[in-house]
Amino acid sequence: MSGEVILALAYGLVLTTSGLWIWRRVVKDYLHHRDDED
Amino acid sequence: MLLLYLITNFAAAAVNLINPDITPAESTMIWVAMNLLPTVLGAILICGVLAAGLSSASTFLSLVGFSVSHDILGSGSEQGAEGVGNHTERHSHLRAARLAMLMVGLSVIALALLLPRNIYWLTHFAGPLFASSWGVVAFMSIWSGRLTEAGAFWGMAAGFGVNVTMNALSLAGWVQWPVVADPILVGVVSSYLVVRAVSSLGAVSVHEVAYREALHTMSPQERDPAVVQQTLVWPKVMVAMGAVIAVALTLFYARPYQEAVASAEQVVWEAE
Repeated sequence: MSGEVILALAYGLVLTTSGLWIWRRVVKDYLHHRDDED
Repeated sequence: MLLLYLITNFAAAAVNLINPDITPAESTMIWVAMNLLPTVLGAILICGVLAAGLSSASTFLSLVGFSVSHDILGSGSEQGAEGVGNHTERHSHLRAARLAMLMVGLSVIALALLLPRNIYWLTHFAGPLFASSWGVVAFMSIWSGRLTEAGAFWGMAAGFGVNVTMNALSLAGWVQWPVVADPILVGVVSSYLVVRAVSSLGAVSVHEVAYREALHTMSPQERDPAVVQQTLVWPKVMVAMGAVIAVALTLFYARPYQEAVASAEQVVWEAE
């Protein structure tokens, strides 16, 4: 696999992973906030 | 932001093929707007560039004015912001803030006219400088309960000083720093170490603890499920964009690039 293809896939992977992480954090921090359990 | 960088980088490469002699290089997008794009699109692009510049300038001038009136001349406490001080004092702070904004504005205009046009390298120097002086304190002032006022001050001073000194030595040609000892990295580490050392000598005041805890208190409006669902649209768009960009880059960049390189190599072999 060439460097260009790796760059293309890695660029998309970074965006996708970041989106998933932000999605998880927003749900955790704002929808299921720890104060709800207290 | 990743999409923006992708577009600007590919636009730069494409424009370089069309005209590699644009001077100064920082005016490339202006040249594109005036020479390559249709008039309407070019006008929109230049308006966007101008609006972004004005927006940044107004924000930074406001910050300068607020820092002078609140942090330097004021008490720096919330009481000052609520206007407990007397009328004359508030007026003098306001005048000082306006004067500071005017002076900074005039200084920036003078520097812009006098210094050589080298926005890229100025930004390349200023961005890491801010990161190494403010970065550690910015994060720790929210997430660390041990950061003291003196620790924050000396941490910023250390990050700034180390970064400027290393860059000055490098620019003078006396030292060539290895990649792992980049001034931004050494500046950040120095800032952190100084913050920890100085903070360990003092104590965080009750007011500072209360203020930091208040930053972590979430207002009920921010937890409205309808608003949160609206926020969640953007990470979903980001995930979809990641997949689309990976496919688009492979099809429209990686494969054509490989084919172009392969055909160029073939031409060279045939010539030999």
